[in-house]
Amino acid sequence: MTRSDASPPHQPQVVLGAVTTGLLNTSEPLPLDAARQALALVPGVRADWRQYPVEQVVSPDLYFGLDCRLSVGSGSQPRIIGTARARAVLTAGHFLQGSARVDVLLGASKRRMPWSHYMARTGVAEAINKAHPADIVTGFLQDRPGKSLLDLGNTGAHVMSLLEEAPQIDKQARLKTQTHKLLWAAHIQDDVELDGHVEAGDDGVFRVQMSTPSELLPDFMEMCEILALHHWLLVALKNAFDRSSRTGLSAERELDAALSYLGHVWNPKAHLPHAMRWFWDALEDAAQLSWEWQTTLTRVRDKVSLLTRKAIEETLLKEVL
Amino acid sequence: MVIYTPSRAGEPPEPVFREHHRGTTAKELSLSHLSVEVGHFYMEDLENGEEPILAQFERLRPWLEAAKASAASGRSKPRVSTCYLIDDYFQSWPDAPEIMEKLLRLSRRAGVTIDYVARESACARRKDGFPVAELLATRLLEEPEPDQDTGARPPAITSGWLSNGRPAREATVLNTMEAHTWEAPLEYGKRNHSIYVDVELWRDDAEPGADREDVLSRRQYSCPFLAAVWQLVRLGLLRKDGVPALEVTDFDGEWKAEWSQFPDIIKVNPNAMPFYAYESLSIMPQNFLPIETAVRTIVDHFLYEQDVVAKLDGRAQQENIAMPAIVSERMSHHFLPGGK
Repeated sequence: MTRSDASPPHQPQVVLGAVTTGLLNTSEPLPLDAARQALALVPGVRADWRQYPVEQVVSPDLYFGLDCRLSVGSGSQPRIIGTARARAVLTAGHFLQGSARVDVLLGASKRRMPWSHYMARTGVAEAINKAHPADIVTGFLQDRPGKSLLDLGNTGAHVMSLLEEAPQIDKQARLKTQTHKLLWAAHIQDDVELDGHVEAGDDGVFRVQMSTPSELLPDFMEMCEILALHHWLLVALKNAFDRSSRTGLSAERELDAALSYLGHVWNPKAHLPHAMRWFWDALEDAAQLSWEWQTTLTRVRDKVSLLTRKAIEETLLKEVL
Repeated sequence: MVIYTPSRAGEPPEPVFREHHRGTTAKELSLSHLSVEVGHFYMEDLENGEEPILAQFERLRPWLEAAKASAASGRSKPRVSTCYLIDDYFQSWPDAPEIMEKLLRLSRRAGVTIDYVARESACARRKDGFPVAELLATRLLEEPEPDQDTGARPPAITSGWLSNGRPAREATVLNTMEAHTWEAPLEYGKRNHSIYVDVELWRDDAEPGADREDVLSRRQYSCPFLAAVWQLVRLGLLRKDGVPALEVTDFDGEWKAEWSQFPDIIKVNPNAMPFYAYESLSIMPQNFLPIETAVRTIVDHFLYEQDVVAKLDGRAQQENIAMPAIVSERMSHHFLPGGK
């Protein structure tokens, strides 16, 4: 006896995501084994991991119930119901990301269905009002605040907060940093080639917009995580440099922490998916993030050298007197 | 504002280095087409006379035959296994060997073969001490409130209760003259009218501020919660590190004196078809209907692992069996008429 489902599975037309990035609050990077324990956020499931060329541990997906609105440019805000998925990513034992995503399915139902319906397709939310994919992409990336609007940045921040109480961390990071957010939105079109752009907004948030066939979506999402991490690294290093110019006496301490925490980790191509390399190369040509990193790092090292020389000269001078 | 628009250049050849360690991979299982639970008794019923036990097995036998005949098996010969869950969690009497002998003898006399026997206590905590029930407790997702949940609410259930909506409540009193304004309960996924269900999953007896191990050791799970663990184990969906949360041990020919010394699941029929199955059926007296409604409510909030379901569904597809996407549709029940 055989049976078949009444309707074929629908493909989401839009996927929305947010990546929050910050420093894990611990004095030294977590060794790989400790990181794998800390990121096993679902009992009975181990974290995925990679060792070369940079250690990276990825938690299993967590799911969050959604019943909220999407921001759109014009017209009424569509209501979506379902679940978002989010994972924690720890790179080089020190850089923590909460990466959240929801696949939006349009035109599937006109009312809220029994919960089992959504639990059978976790990670998907269904819009119960009419909406155009392009409007949803634009509206989401504008990131307007609103009480009942989808807030994936908060989902990512929640996943990051799950590590605050991990017994493996000592809560004594020596570098001051802020958590950053990157937003991305993909219009899924199976008959198109991957195409998109990155926008650096006035608010310091990078926004990535892409048209992509569905099979490249995981690669695209990974690239967004890599971009978010490296944008964060750049900002963290520049901020430390700026603080060192203002703080006078503690300048050396600031630069010391920045160099020992951040100096060695720039490597955007480390885990960059193969299919995304051309996009990254083109992005580097235009935005030159790696050039900016090298320049900033050189300035930091020059300043440390100058401060060291000054200190030596002062010591010598005291001895002469 | 700056916009970077990359254009596609010549793409490099295939990657020459790959490394990605999957933390957990779902194990392939031997699977029956259907797992049939043959009857259920409270421990006190098993302690009493033999007549009611025999009568229940006799009443369910024709339904078991019907289930075997109608199991969805695609192109293959139907593989059906039977199982029985011993109620040893809430009451545990000392004469385990006599009860097991009686149960198996009476079922045989009624023409019902029991292939596997499992303990309800094992659905809470395995013989090796692992807290199996917590695998389910940490895989339940509460339903979002209409127009309220934007993705920031932590997904964990802390109250020990799970519902399909919002309870009745006193509405906000704006005017003291209308103090008794009442707001009806709401089933979030209702069709026209609500059936609001609120299920107690467990009760915590530990002192406030106790550490987690202490809380778990004193946590008392409800009957529907343990039955939900049982259903998900039979369906091969509840896993620890990729393998089933409860595993099968062959019967070694001797029943231990204490229930707690029994393996988690015992294969009592050496010729039985596999324990785990694509679909499950439970045949039991109709007084268990409310419990099974609660079980379905719990299962409807279960977050399965996508890898696990993909493997099960892939296997089913090879056998030309279409699996329902909704987990609770893989379970069915038959309630026997009359009392227990």
